[in-house]
Amino acid sequence: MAPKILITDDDELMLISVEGLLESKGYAVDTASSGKEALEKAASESYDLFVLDIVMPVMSGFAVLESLRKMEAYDTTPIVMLSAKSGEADREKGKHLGATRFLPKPIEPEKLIEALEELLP
Amino acid sequence: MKRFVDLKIQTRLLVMFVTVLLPLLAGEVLTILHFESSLRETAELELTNVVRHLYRSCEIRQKEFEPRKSLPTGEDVAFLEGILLSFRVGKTGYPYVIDTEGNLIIHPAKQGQNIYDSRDSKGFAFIQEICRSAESLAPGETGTLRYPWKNVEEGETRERMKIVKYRYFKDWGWIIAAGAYEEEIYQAIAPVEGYATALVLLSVFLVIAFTWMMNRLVTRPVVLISEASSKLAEGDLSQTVAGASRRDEVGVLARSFNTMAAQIREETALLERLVEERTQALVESREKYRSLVENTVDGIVTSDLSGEITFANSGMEKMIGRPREEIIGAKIWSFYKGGIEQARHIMRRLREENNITNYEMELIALEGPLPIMTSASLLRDADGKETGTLGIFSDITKLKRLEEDLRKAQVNLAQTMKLRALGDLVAGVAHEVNNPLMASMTMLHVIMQSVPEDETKLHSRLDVLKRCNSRIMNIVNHLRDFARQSNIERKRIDINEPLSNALLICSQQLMNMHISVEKDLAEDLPAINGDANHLEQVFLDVIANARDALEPVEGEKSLSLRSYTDGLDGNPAVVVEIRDTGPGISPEVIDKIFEPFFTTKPVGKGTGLGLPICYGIIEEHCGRIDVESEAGQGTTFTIRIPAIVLDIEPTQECEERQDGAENSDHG
Repeated sequence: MAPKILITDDDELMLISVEGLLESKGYAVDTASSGKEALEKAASESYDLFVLDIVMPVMSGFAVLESLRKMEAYDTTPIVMLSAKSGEADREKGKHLGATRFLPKPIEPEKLIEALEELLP
Repeated sequence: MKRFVDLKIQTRLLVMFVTVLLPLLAGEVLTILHFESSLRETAELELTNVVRHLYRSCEIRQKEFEPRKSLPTGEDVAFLEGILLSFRVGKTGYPYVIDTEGNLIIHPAKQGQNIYDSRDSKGFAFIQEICRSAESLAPGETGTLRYPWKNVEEGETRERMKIVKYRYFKDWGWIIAAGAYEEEIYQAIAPVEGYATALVLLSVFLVIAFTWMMNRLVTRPVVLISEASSKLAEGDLSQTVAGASRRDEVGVLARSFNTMAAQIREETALLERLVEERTQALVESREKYRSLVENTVDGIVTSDLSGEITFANSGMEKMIGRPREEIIGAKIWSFYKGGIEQARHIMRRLREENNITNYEMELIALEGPLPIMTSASLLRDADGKETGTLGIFSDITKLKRLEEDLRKAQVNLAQTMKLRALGDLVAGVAHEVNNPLMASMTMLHVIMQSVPEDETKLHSRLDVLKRCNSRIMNIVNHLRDFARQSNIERKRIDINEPLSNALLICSQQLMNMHISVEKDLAEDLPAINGDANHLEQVFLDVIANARDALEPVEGEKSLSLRSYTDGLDGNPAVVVEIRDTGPGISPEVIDKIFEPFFTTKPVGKGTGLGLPICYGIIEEHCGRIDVESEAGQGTTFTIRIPAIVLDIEPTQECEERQDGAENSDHG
């Protein structure tokens, strides 16, 4: 069974494109357009990896990350943070909250796939 | 010759006394002398009478008794001896007869002796004299001889004048003489002499006394008053004269004089006090104005209508850098940078407006042009006629420098603000572009993977899209760097490290282009708080710019790197200088060199963000990057970054600014 990935981004174009990319690589992909929706889906479904955009309205990627890590089911699940912000402070904060990997935005599709393949068995 | 009226009163009085009293006195003296000589003659007459009597006796004896005899007989001698010896003149005087050879024919004591060689007490042979002179006497004429005598035989010790009267009886060759001591025969007139002398002395005394009295009573007070007046006139006001208590005219004069002198003293004292007060006030006032004029740093000059400087204060000396002697007398426009035209302009304005304030111009000082602020006004005399001008010059070098500094700071601030605003904008744009760009890249990737390998034409067309995306991503990444989205990791580093690294990266390329590199890095540089990677990027960028600048240069191309310790805003800083010998940068370009998107490179070769990013990075380090260039002389980039002093981190201000900058980067 293909690994199941949840992509969270407030930008629809990002969701569609990344979904398309990951599906083409044979992953089972689910999308959420807000932090709230992501947590709801995480609670009702079971995912093997999360791709989280950091800068989102209402609930930021960090907030989602924090909540996910509090959920028993996801305390070790790989969570990839995707952000145009790659400042040291953000990186530290993300690491502290339990982010598995930081990837810049934009990132070449090849590099994204490469990173995901590393994290998924 | 002085006229009589010009003489002093005292002298005149003296002259008058002398002219009146002296003849009187002289008359008196003459009378007395005459009287005295008459008395003397009378006294001497006794001697003469004795001589005459004896002479007469001889005549009678010769004629009546023996008329034919030429020589006297013994009888004659005895007869005459009898007469002669009966005479006595005075107390000790006596007559005697002597022949012309000095033989005493009749003598009371020494008859028969020859006394021809007898000498008086002065050693004078008086008998010889008598013998000689007697023979020349006319018959009946009496000779007189006076000689000093001391009769040693009689035991006399005192020398006394003796007087001898004698006649010559020619027929017998006899000299008939009678001698006596003068004092004895004058005895009778001695008291008269005393009275006369007393009278003369009294007269002299009276004259002197009278003169003295006149002097004392009249002349002296007048002279004293006159002298006091003179001294008063000469300025010695302490004069008073005695005699004010006298009731006579002199008293009135003295009182008047004293009153007048006192009044003059009083008036003079008042005047002196007034003058002193005024003088003091004047001195103080002058000193005040002098001190005002001399102590002010402003230059103060006056000039006459011909423009010649008539006064200059020390402020002017210092301003111009020349001594006053060189300033005074010179034409004022010789110190104006604008020359005589400027002076005319000022004069025109002065005539229109009467005075000028805050007029900016330049003076020619020894050290070069000096910016000044001028205030000028027309000087007029009491009739309102123009006499010249007064100019006050304030040195505004500092003000000008401040203005310049302010202008630079404003430009700097404007630049910084502009860059920051632009940074915010760019960050926003970059962020907004991120998502669609990534979506586009991702989607393209999916599509390209789904297109079969043999659809080469489609693949190559999709590849164009991919390249477009790449370029867009490159730009976005640059924009993000520029907007300081990049992560700066500051550590304690030696600035030489990133500099050397940057040079190492470029060295092969520089060598290929035949660019010689000079490296002069200080070994004991203080550490800085910085991000080695970012600084390396800055140095790489600057070196790359230098390389590009040197590319078209024919001949020697050189690049020099220097690092040293200097200051930045008063704090120690390390400085890196990167200098090339390229063609230089024109002033218009230099002004825009740190502006984003400004580039002189061909499209696609530069984004116009390299140097703005460097600027941002150096600013993040609280430092400064400056560029200096002259056309044809090459370009120098100077980067200054504050040094860590005694482990104190760079200034709080800069830290705060950084924090602010980072905070504004969200979104």
